[in-house]
Amino acid sequence: MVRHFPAQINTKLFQYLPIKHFKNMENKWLADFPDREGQKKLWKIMKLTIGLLIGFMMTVSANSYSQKTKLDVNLSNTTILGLFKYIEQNSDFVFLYRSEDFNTSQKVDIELKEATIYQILDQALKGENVAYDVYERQIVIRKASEPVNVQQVQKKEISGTVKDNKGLTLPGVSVVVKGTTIGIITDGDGKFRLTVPADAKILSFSFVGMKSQDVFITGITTINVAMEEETIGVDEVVVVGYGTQKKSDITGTVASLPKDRLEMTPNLNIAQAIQGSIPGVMIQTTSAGASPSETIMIRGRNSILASNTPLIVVDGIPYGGSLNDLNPSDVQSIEILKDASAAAIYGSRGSNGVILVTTKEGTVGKTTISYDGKYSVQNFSNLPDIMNGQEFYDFKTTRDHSAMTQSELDVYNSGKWVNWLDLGLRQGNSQEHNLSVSGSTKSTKYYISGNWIDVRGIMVNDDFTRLTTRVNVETKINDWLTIGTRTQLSSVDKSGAAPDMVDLYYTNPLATAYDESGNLTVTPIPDDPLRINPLETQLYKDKDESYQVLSNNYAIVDFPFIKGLNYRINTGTSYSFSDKGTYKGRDTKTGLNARGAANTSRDISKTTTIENILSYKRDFGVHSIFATGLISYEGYKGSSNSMSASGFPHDFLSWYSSAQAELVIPGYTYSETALSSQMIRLNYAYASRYLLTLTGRRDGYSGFGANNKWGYFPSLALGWNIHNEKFFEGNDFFNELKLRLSYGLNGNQAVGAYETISRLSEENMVAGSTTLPGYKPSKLGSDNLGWETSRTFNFGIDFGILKRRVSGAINLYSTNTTDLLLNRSISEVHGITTITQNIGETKNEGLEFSIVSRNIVKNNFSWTTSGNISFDRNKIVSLYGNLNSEGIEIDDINNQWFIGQPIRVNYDFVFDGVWQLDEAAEAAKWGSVPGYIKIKDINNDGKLTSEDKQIIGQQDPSMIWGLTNTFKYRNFTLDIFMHGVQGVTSQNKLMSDLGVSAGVRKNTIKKNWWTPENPSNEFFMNDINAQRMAGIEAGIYESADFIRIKDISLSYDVPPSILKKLAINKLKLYFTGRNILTFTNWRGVDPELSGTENIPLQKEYVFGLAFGF
Amino acid sequence: MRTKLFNIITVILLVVFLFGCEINLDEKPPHLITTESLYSNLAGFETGLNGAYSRIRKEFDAPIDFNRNMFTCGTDNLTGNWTQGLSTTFASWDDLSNPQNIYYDQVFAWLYNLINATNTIINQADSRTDVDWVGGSLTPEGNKNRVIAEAKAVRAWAYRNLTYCWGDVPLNLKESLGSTIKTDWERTPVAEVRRQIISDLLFAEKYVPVEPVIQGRLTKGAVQHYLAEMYLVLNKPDSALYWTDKVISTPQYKLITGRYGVKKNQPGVPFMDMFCNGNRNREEGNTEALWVWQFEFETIGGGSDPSTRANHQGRFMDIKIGSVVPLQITFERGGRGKAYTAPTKWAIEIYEPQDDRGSNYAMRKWFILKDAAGNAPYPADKLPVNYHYGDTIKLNWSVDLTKATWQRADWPYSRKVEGTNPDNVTQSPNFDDYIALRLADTYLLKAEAQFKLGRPDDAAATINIIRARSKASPVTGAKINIDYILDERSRELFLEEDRRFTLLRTGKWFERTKAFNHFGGEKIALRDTLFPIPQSVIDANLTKLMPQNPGWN
Repeated sequence: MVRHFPAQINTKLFQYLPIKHFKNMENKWLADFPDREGQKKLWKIMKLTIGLLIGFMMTVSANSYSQKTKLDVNLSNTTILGLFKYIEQNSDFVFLYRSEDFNTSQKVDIELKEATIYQILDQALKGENVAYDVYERQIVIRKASEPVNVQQVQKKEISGTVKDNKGLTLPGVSVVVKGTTIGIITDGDGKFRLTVPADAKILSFSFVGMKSQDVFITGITTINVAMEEETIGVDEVVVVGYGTQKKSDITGTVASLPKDRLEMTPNLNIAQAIQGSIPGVMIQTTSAGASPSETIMIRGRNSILASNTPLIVVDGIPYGGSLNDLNPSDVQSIEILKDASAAAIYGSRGSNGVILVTTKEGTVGKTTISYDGKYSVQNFSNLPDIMNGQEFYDFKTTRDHSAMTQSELDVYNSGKWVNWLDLGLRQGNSQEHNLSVSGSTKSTKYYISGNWIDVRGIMVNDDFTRLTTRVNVETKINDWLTIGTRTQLSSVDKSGAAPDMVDLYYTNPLATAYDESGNLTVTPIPDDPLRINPLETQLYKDKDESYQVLSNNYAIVDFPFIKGLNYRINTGTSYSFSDKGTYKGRDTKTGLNARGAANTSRDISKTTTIENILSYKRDFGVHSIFATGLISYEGYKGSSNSMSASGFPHDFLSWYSSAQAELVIPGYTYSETALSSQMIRLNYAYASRYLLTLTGRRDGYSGFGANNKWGYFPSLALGWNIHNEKFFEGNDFFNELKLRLSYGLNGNQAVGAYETISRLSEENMVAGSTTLPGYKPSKLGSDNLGWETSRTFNFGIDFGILKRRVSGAINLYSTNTTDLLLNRSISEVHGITTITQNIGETKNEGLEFSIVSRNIVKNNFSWTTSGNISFDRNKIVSLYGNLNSEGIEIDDINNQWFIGQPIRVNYDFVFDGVWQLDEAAEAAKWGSVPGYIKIKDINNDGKLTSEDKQIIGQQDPSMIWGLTNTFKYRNFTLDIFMHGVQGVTSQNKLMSDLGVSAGVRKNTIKKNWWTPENPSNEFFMNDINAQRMAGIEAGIYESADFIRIKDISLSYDVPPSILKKLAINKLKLYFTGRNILTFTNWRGVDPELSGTENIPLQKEYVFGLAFGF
Repeated sequence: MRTKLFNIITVILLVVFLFGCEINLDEKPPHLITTESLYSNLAGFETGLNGAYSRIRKEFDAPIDFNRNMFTCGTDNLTGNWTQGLSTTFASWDDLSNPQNIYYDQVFAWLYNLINATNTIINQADSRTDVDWVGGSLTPEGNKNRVIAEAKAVRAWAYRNLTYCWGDVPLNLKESLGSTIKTDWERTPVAEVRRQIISDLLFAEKYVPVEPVIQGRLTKGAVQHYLAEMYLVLNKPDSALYWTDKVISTPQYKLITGRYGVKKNQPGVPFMDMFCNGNRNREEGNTEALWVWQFEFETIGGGSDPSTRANHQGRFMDIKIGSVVPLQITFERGGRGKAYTAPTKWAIEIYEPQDDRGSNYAMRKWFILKDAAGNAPYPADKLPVNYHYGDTIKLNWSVDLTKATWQRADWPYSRKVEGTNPDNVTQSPNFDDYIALRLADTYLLKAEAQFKLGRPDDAAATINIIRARSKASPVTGAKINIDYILDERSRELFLEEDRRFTLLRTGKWFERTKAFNHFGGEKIALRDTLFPIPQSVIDANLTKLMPQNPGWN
């Protein structure tokens, strides 16, 4: 028995190892060298899990694994192989051996407690003529006596050293002759020596976390290889706006979207991919359906009234269009700039954060053709419990028996009442096909893709189709000039009018939806002729088409005479055009009333961006300098032609006969803005340890008031890569530790065109039948109106520990936003009730935490968890600065803005249950009776006045989190993504009987109505007066917190052996379920939906297939 | 090659850099109207006046059709009868009438919006020297005075409404600007506001012509009428008498005494002819009209959603006999009503049997069941058991409207506002023009002035002119007192006059509403004589406490 220690590993041993052992080995190396792919994927973790995971990691990972690991072995009559298997299962060790070298089926008996691997192996291999080498987790077993047999098939010996891009040697790199099973791994000094067939042409070097490299070896005997890290990791290159930077050099807070959120899930747009995946980014669905819309908010609400939507930049060009127009499959990466330093380069538009979207570019090397197809089935995820005909009948007769009409009774007696929701909803489905070609020639890289998506939404007539094509081409004309384009053409068709959800909910069920001949009835409730048939939208002729061109054409000049100097010009253009029309004929109530009604509109808009970017990047010894200068212009021009017409002679020609309509109202709107900017950014790094970023931007915007056109936005950031310090060397716990600090100013432009100008609006009059043009004052202008200013302080820590098995980031921030653009309520005595001014201040403070942890890495099984959580607290610091007699600033009660409170709160009288039978006397004091609503008299003055209104929770979440667990077993991957939101209180508008209106003509949701037999405290009795106490109503507010299993994806990668037969490179099948399970106390439609009466979210089951060759 | 490319790039660079630096950031909106651009000539001022007149109509336009209810409902002759809006407020009073009531807020904001529109016109006309006043038949100076006069008359009308509703209100005579926002408004004593009203009206009276400049504008007679009314409320009956006489003696203004217009040959009474569409305007033969608000269906500027008719007209289509709902909605029946307001039993019963104003032509009291031919092109009425076509369905007002007996489909209603779109008889809005002021009201103001001056016989003579037209028997001076005048006003002007204002002017609102209105009236308190200042107005007055009206704190 000879025991070898890691330093003395004999690498020659491995050259004939069967390939299956190499496979094993590669998998096993995962254990030591963190999978950067995994890091990229997983940036999220749930709070509770963190402690647990870290604890777990601490026990399984330690330096000098082989010496510290203690195992209990109690095996009798087991083969040596069985022993190896046992050890592999119970530790991170892996065995490498040739089965002909010794008798692997030799039976052994071993009983050891707390034994090291050496003790175990010494005992187990006692009888065999083998030696073993232990290199951390690898155990190599070879014949002890025999020298390595080197005379078999090799005809040539090749040797070399493998280093990383910092020049450090890389042990453990797998070196394989391409197309064979001949290979080896590098030793502790990154060296290898391999005997190869004389005709071997290519050596492949691969290492987890590094880009694989193929090197030609014809005529070569020694090679030195520098491995490049893969795009994810500390030295990942990250898009930072007007350039890219290595992640380790970044001082600001830049978060990248894990790539498989874009690839694996059925996202119609990038907002859906971002949701829950990046800390501090709140995505709220405003309306679901075939073409859902989302609002995005980064790091909480800074603006009270101005938009909180981040700036979206696609391939360097600010994007003003709809997210639904971009094809997520074309996206290479998404970065989010969150702090002042990162976003200050976008000056007056940076304060809500910036989302940088970069599309794919051509791959180097062989041309690849990829297809990705998805088919999904959708059903609504949750609907309120609307009363059926019987229940409505009971409700109505209880409430107002005399209001029951003959036609309602007829329907009731026939039992054929209508379930409007059943008629208005359907099972939705969608299919998507994406085909792309990516490759390069000697000087040209190209990526060309086409995408088609066709969604049939869950509401009848709610359809969406989109066709996008993208051409990204870049060609190097000579050694100093490169030109390229990134261009997308898209066409979207949303034609077809879906029923209004509110109409489906509330239309009287005692109605007739279809007449005898199967046509939709015009008047579904004959005794209530004003009510429309909610399904009549199906009969509308409806067109909603749009087209978009998004093109960034650029040229890059690398100045040959100054090294590191580079000039880039971006010329971005986006054109969008939309064409809409609706015609309501006389077969619908709306159309009948108007005798045919048409609305048509055509919008056209153009954005032009010109950016001149000069950058200089050079290292001088330990000093690294990266300077960027920008001069840019962005112009927008948009106009819209619209027409509404009614009183058509007939329905045959719909809007085409508008000229014959009796009333035709044309409209024309127009808007034009210009933004002129200059920016300078200086990055300096000293020995990759001390980092400094200085930026300044100057923006001039046409929409600002005459006295305030220009704004300045400076920022400063510092970074310290502690792990690069000498004193930190040898720290086995931390692989990466970086501190970041930034402070700076950002703006929120938020002023639309012409907002600063006083104006009048049309208010036309008539004399007899002659129209008289008229105007009335409608807006008060302000010459001083400008941007909102946000001052943000950010402190961040990036860390990688336990050989980067766990990595993550913590950020603390504090943002003060001043000069808020407020539509301040002014006294009605002015005749105009609001004016926009720069006043007030808000504050946002928050903590963000993200982590990726590779919990289990086994031969054929791995488990990775990534999670993120963010807390945000916002409050109004000041509004108009008006103090009361005690020197305390006065709240704006009209707008429900309160000093010291979150920006969006609920403010109302407080629902306090229902007057119960034993409270009759107390109720009588309020002129009320048992069964009626009870509202809190907060100040106990015996009256309900405005002083009894209370703040009832906030409308924005205080905490958002996302958690992804990825399990890989052989070729199967299971991905479970959860998302949660906490701290939201919303009014449940469905919890009201007011909507039934007088005469109980409309439906409402089932409630736990109070009756003497059912003394509910949840909802008052079914009585027209029950919802008021002393004339006051109080809304019912509920927590809209939720935990949702957002996506569950199971995918299967067809193994290479089969692929080879099919002659393709990649084949993947997957299945995803979206919005599968939700935990919430919210009783409304969907806690995630901001409009409580909009189309509910859908449960979606997706089957997908991806292959490439 | 290399040099050439370099040159090209250098040129591009230079152009782009130069372009980048020369951006003009001034905004020149080609599509927006500012006071600067609009009020530069006479035509511009006319559009400003058109805007103001259009705003006035908001008294009717939904969803703020409730505005009108604030002036008329919750009185001795009209009660709220529905569960929404001001109808509910005035059927309940008590807690529902409170500073948070959004309808109070709405009316307050609407009137000040109108005031700012007129302030802007007056200020621009007065202060600018670059205006081209040339146009029409008047001299430039004449045009300017006429424009200012009309604007002042409208402003006076808005303040008149404000003072009746709220008493002391902030007197704002300046054009609102972004740079002059105030947070310390004060309530000007009502007497001072009324002095301003009179001052505005006196100016207007000089320049507003007898016949309206354009159909729908104020007439000199209307201005004089409002002057008279203001003097009455200020207890100066002699001045009131002077101005009513001015109106009555204007030869163009004459009471309608015979049948005329589009329904002349159909059964009817002279009194109701002027309420028929096509007859309401002066141009259409209505010599009695002093001010006619203009609406037009499917016409730009025709109004958005005027709903007065639907709000008052009864729900006859809901009348149920047995299980049959017999009456169809037809054009002849005036369309579909909602009965958000209803006459009190008292208001229905104050007519002599022969009085045209209480006849079925003026006040709907019965229907005749009609067959398909009778209703054509609308369907035949459905026959209840034992009924035949030609039978009468009588409405029933024997039991007064109260909280327990409200929302009755068979309750009478005034037919003054009947009218609908024949193609869609169920639609709520009704785009018929509306007589905002007519000479009969001036006669009754005159009688009130005469009575206050201690001349009851003269008052009786004035009133008899009105009564004679409708075949009511003459009244003697001995019977004249303020209550009689108010009764007569209800008989003549039911649903037309701003009844609440009339009752407040005569100090009779509380007493008479309590006496005759049993659905809401029983709940009114003295504080209800003035509405509460809307809470939002108090809240917006950040730096000065705006006192609330008594009883509302």
